[in-house]
Amino acid sequence: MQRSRVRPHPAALCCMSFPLSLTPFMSSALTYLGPPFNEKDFSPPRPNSTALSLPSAATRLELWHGLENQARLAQNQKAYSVLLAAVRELARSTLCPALKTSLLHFCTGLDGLLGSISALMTTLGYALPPPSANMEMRPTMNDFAKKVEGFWILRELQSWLWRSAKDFNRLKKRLRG
Amino acid sequence: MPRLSVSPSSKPNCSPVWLISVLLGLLAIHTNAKDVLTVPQQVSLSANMYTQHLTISWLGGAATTFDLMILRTELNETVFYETVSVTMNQVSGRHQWNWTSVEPLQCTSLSIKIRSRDGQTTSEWSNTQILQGSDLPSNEELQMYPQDRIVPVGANTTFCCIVEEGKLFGTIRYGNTVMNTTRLSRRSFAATVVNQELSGKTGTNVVCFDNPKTKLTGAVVFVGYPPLPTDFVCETRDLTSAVCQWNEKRDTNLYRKRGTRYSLNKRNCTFSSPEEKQKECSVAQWEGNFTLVAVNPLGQYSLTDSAEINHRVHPVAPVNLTFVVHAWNASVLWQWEYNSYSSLALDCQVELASQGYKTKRTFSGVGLRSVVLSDLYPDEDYSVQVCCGAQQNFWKWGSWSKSFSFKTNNYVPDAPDVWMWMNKDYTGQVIWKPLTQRQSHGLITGYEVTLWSPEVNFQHTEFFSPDTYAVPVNLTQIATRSSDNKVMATVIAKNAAGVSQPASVLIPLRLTDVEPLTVSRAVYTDRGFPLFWQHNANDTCAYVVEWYEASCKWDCPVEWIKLAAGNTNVTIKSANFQPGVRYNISLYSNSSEAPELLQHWQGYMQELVPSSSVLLSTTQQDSDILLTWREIPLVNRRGFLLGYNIYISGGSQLTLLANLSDLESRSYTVKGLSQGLYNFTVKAYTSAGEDKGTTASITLEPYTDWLILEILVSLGITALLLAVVTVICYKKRKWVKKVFYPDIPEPKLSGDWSRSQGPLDVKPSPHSLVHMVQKPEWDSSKEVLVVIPEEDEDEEGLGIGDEPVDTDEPTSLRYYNQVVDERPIRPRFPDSSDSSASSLDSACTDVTYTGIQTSGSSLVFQLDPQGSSEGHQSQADLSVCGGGGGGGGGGGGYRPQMQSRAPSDDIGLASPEPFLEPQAASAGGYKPQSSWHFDSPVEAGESGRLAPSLGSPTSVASTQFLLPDEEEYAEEKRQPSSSAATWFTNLLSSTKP
Repeated sequence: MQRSRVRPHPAALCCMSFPLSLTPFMSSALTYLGPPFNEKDFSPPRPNSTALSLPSAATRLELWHGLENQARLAQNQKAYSVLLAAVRELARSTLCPALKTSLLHFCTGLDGLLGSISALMTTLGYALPPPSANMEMRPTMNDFAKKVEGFWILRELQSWLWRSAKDFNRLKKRLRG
Repeated sequence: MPRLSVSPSSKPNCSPVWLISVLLGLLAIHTNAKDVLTVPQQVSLSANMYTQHLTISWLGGAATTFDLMILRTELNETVFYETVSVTMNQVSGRHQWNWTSVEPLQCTSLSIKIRSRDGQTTSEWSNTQILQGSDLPSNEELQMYPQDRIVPVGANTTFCCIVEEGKLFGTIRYGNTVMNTTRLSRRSFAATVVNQELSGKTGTNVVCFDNPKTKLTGAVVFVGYPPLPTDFVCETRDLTSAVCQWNEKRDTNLYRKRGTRYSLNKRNCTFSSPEEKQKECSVAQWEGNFTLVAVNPLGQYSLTDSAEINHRVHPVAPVNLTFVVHAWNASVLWQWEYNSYSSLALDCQVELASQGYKTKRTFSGVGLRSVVLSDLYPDEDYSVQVCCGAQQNFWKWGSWSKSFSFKTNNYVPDAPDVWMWMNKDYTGQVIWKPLTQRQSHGLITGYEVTLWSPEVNFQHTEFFSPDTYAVPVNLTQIATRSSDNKVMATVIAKNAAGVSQPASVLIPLRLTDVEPLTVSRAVYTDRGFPLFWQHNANDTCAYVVEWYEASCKWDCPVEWIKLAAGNTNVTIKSANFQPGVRYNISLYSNSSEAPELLQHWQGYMQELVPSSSVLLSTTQQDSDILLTWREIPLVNRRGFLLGYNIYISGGSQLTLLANLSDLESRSYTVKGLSQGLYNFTVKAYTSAGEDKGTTASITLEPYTDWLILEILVSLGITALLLAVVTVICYKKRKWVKKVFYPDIPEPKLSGDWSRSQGPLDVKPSPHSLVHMVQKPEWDSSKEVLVVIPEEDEDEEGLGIGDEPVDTDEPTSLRYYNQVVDERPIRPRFPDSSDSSASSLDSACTDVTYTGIQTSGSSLVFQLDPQGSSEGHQSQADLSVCGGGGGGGGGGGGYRPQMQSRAPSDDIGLASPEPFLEPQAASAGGYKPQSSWHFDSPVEAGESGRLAPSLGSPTSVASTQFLLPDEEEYAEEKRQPSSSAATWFTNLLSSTKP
């Protein structure tokens, strides 16, 4: 990341950590979807649904590193806002009480992360991206398509968490340096 | 749903010419029916994709039978071909027939054609109508059908996968199972799942993969049950509305939008917790008839209920309970949630809980709001719950109110239960039972005990703490002053509410004078000791039954129970009863007079085997054995003794000798035993069995009188035998002498022996010679020379054989027939009398020949021919000459021999002779020992080879020991030691000083 001219608020830096992890309930969530979603090499095509209208975390590394801090933070912010709404919907629709509790707890963490990113962007003087599209506008999907969408929500979330963790660590080092 | 229809292109022409033709045709109706069958026209299709129903309609004229053919368009495979009977719809004038496809209708295009049939006559096929599938080339996507299907458990479902244009089909998986597939068209493949089981909550995934696995698509199928509600019933709580309840008998496995929806009297029901099995739905007004309809995608189920409102009253719980509390009763007040209850006749239950026990009391009243609970106990905690039901047309008890608690007030205590224990003197105890909570009516603050005797105007009062339940009394002084037999003891309990009624007991002063009654046995049952006694009709007194451990003698912890007059039996119970403990149980009269002992029992809760055994002693009485033992202490008996078993033990086994059931008899005489060691065991036994027993040993000694008699008889017989033998020997002494002690020629001395007047000097003389006649053929077995060491008792005791050869005290040996007197040595004829007297008392060497004999011939000493008499000389010569002959013992020359005797023989014969030194005793013969020097016994002793010479006779003339050579010695050792004759000879020739 490039060095920014504006120093972030120490509180914002403090919050730039990633205690979030999908690992504890990823397995149970995939098992809940049923086979073959819980199989290791299963990879259905990524649907272009509203719930997944977020920047892909699969952007090539050199392209990603070539972006400005603001662009990357904006993409982080947009991605997590979309993912938060999607995970909330997942939690609402799940029939497994334990999984529902885990997902809702995770949503709380995601909400805090979004707040941290927004605070950081504000501190750095970046403009916040517009709110994502309303989830109520989703077209009718069959049950299999919903499962595929849920599968990809979890996968994208995992990828974004990995990428963000690295980004934020790098950003923290540079800003402190 | 899309409806596909195909319109016919032409209509029949109804001209008069045609009509005529028809009429003509009717004339030949059976000749050519084909001419009148119309080809079905205007075939139209209507498909329901979800239910997979295909509705086919057409104009078929008057025909009622049609052939229907359905083909898969692409592969021209017949799916359905049947003749069906279809009636014409009178309104539309069309024929219609429904067909349900096994596969989803989207899987592939279907071609449908129809023809009329009349018997064997058929019309031409109609135009083919095609129901287009989703596998048309225009639709290139990867697809799967059906989607989101909901089927009941056990159903069969066919899924089809339409692969992407230009791709190859891979597999279809149902859950984890790869399905067998059939090809429906160029791109469409189908798989059928049969007898489907319950799916998971999120359904079962059916996934289609292409080949290679680059893309996939899928569907979800939900397998569940139709709804099945039960126990539908409606009731009212507020006397206005209806509340209906039911249960879900089974889980449909369908949730959310697929879940069961309920309606009550056509009003939808909503639930706060849909997961609960018990459902409840309300209707604002009681309608009398209620219908519940349960619907889910797999079906619906209806239940009805009807009743009048006053038959279904289920009261709500009373609220706001309050109490008005007293010592023995309390009032409970409550309120109702609905005012309508004020006119409702109610039955109410009050559940009273105290000390872990619950009781229910029922009260009735219109609009009941309070009850009085009587018969309560003072100072006790109670908790109360109330529920009510309609008094008329009772439906069910209402809900219980919340539980409320209160505590009753204090009250004066009950009088304590007082009794006494008197020892054998005038001391004792006044005791009373602790008051229970229900007797104390509040916290006991103390007791007041008063002793008084009206006769001597004695009264003494004392206060005791609440934990005192026994007070010692000493009535010695009162007893001396009073002529009356009793003293009154009164006990009063106190608490915060006041004092109890006084409880009294009369203490008899002459209790020690009471004679003990006959003791009966009380048998314990599982309920206690049942006791019975006779009731005297004239007695109006009450009774007291007391019991205590029989082993207790002083200030015993007595328990008691008081019985009213007229009782004749009681079963006493106590948590303190212990197995194996004897209890004394006494029945006393309890009246205004002093208690009088009426009956006495003893009993065990459970009899055990005695814990200790008898103390056993054994004594011999003459030839019998007397066993005596002591009584087992009462504490250790642990049961009523039934007797004693006497055993004799042989090894590890006990043999019963006797069973004594007489407990007073504690001795037993065992007779008829021979001498030896005996072990006797005595075991006491109760109904529970024997104790471990005590074992005593005794060795039965021979009876002394008989022993003395036997000894005397033996001695008499021995003396008699000796006398007889002596007489015989005396009478036959000559013969004996001749046989056993033939005359031995006296050795002749050479030289001037006569000049020597002093004691024989046994120093070797250089001038003395012993002429030894060597005879290799000498047979030692024919000659016996027995050496008897000097009879020194000390040496006998020590055992000569054990002495070392080089002892400081030279071993004394004695030669029989040795010339030892002062007389000149001259030939002598030894005889038996001489032999004992001819001993040599030498400080150096003392050798005695017990006998020099030959077997059947004489043994010749040939010491010095010159010094011998002629006669003897001749005899000696004769003997020498005859020495070459067989059988002669002498063998010529001086060759005394010593018969080998094994030590064991000496012991076995009990010979009075001392044991011979083994080496010497084993010497078989003698030969000159040139190496021996008399002056140096030590040197001689140091030589091991000289050891055998200690028993060897020494020639006076030569001073040489005659030692056996080793070969002979060894040979002699192997020979038997002695014969009976030798022994007898030794016996007779042995001399004692």
